[in-house]
Amino acid sequence: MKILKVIFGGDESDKFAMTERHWLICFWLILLALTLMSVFIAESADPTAWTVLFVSMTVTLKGQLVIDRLMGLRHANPLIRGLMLMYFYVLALLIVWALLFPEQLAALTTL
Amino acid sequence: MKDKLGSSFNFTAQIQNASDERPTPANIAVWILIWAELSEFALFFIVYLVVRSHNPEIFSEGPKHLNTLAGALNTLVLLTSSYCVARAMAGIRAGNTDTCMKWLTATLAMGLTYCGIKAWEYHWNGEAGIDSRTDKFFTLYYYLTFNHLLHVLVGMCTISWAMFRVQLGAFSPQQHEGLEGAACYWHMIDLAWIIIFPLLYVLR
Repeated sequence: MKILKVIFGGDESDKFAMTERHWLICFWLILLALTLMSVFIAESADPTAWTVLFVSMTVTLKGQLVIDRLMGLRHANPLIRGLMLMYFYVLALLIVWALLFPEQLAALTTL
Repeated sequence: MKDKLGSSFNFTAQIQNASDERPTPANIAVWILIWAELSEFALFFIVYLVVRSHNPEIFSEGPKHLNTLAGALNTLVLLTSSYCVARAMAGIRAGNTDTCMKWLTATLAMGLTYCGIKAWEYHWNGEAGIDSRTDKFFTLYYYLTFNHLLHVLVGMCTISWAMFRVQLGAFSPQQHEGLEGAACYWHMIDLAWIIIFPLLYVLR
């Protein structure tokens, strides 16, 4: 109970801090749920194109949530935010391509 | 030369002033460090994908021998640690040093938990006869995860230093750039793991 009080409770007394705290809890729980969902799907089903697409989308979504909500870049400098988000979009696409079309990547990287 | 310096300062000023609502956390030096670290991880990810494309059987079989529970637990621990850092930042913004310290302590505890789980995982691998020379998959697995573990240790030192400065009263609701830098570095560690976990443990 004390642990739950530490996690969900808080000392910030003003209204803004209360709202921010509740949003942070909400995003944290979404992140945990996305992680558990992707593990469950990958463990319970044979690897298919849909599994790869789902897990890659989960990675992008989790990255965006951490960057925007936990790091606090949602309303920050668009260049810094854009570069951070691009990292996840580009890598997720690269993962999808490499896992769904490995022959193409192998051909491209054969000397 | 003067023009070049002038344009460089303008660029820095642009980075720091272009935000529309909230100021960007930390400073430009921290963001350059974060991009450098993420680029290093990106290079490892690309190497992993290229080697995987040349050895599909080894890389399809490899994850089946890993301790997925340890990987999943570490993901949950790191996401929780990011939440703790965000709460610490909310605390200092509200001018509450005690709240900030409480959540930074929780972040450190999460970092220690991560290290403990990682030690258990490596021990578990050793018991199963797995090491970095087992095959190409495990070479890359150890390279990526050990490199990430080193970043977690550096992050824990950074958070400890930030806690020391909070205790000294170095940060206020108006001025807490150093703490923001430590927080952003810790989030970066979490971001790298968000990609490492599915790449090594989940996608087969």
